[in-house]
Amino acid sequence: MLKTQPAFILHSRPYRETSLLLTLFTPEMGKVSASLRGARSASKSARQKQAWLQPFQPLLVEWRETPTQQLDWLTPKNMEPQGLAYGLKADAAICGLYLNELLYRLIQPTEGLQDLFNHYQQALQALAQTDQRELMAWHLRQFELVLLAELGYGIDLTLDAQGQPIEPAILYGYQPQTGFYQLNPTAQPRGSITGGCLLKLAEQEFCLACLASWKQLMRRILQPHLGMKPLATRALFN
Amino acid sequence: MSSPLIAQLIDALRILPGVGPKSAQRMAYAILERQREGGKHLAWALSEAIEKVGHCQSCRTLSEAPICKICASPKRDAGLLCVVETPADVLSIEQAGIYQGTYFVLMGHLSPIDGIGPAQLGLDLLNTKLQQPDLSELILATNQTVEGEATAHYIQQMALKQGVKVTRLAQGLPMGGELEYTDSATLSHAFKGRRQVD
Ligand SMILES: [Zn+2]
Repeated sequence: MLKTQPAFILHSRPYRETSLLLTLFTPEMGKVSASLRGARSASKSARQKQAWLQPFQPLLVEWRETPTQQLDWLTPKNMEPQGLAYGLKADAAICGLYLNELLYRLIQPTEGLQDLFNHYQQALQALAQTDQRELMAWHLRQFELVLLAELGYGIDLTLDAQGQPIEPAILYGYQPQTGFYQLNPTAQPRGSITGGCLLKLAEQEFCLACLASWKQLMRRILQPHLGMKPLATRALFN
Repeated sequence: MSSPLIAQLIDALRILPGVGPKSAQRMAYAILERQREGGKHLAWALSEAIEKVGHCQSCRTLSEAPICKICASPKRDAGLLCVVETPADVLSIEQAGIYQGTYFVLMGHLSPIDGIGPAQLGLDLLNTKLQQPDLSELILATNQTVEGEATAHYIQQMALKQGVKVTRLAQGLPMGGELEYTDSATLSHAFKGRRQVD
């Protein structure tokens, strides 16, 4: 049966003489690998392909589904661009690469990531429309929350580890196994966050003053899922 | 059944780009059946090159000498520094015959998923070059790909901190365009029309 799916390239690398080995993000199959021939040479057709075989370019991939098909591999019968690429430039492009690294590291070949796929497109759109680093950071935090929720690791930002409502004036710490716990307000240890910032994040209310602690918090929350290897894109935010 | 040594040779040949099991087998048999002398020469050339070709200490391109010919040449304008991704890009620009400055070869581009970051691209070395007082212009000639552009942007930020004038090759290069596959006329056009970025 012939199947089609929208897709984005998360990663590509040279493969054989003229092929690319692509890692795609698709709504129905999650992360899936595909090899594409004739994409790397000086020929006109290869150069045309190079122009759209890029991250942030909406693609349509078509393949023949067979009973023996592996979950994480498809052989495209056809692949083509669908409209224009999200024009992520400069800092926004680095943010986009960060999203791609997150997806690459955290999602598996699976079914039903349609919502995440839509959120990804919205995040790219939002990143393409701003040149303010603060807003970019905000879009990244929102996407991180959605990603965790869609993968089943969602956290409740409105309750502490004891099930008590988060209080705006209280300072909290976060433990991956248990959740949020109250801190001595005079201690102010690293990685602490005010209840006010937690609630704003839960309400998706942008706040300049909360950005730094949101970033620290999301790092702590993502860490157990990412394991020992840090996200390389983080080194590029300077 | 193939012997263990033949199997080993076939396996070893497969590290070459574009060489699958079938081609590797063809190559191995060609060498053993008809090209034993040539094969010996290949083995020698390979080990010589691997042992003696390193990276230029100044620009990182592949070089037998500690400093490559371009970096060592008094005819090159050290005030111009052109950043490219690969030694093949240097070759393309040299063949176009349009540039008399020096190079810095990244040996790749930023590729977070592959673990290639600023350190792997030698950007600390580039940063020290940016501090040289006689440097008048940094030309970014990375590929027109998303990752090439991100690399250019990152380097541009570094250069701006050092107060160095930065230019980018003109848009004659298509999106997705890799320098290696760009013809001399287009490349020459892109160099002449390079624009300052800030
Ligand atoms: Zn050199």
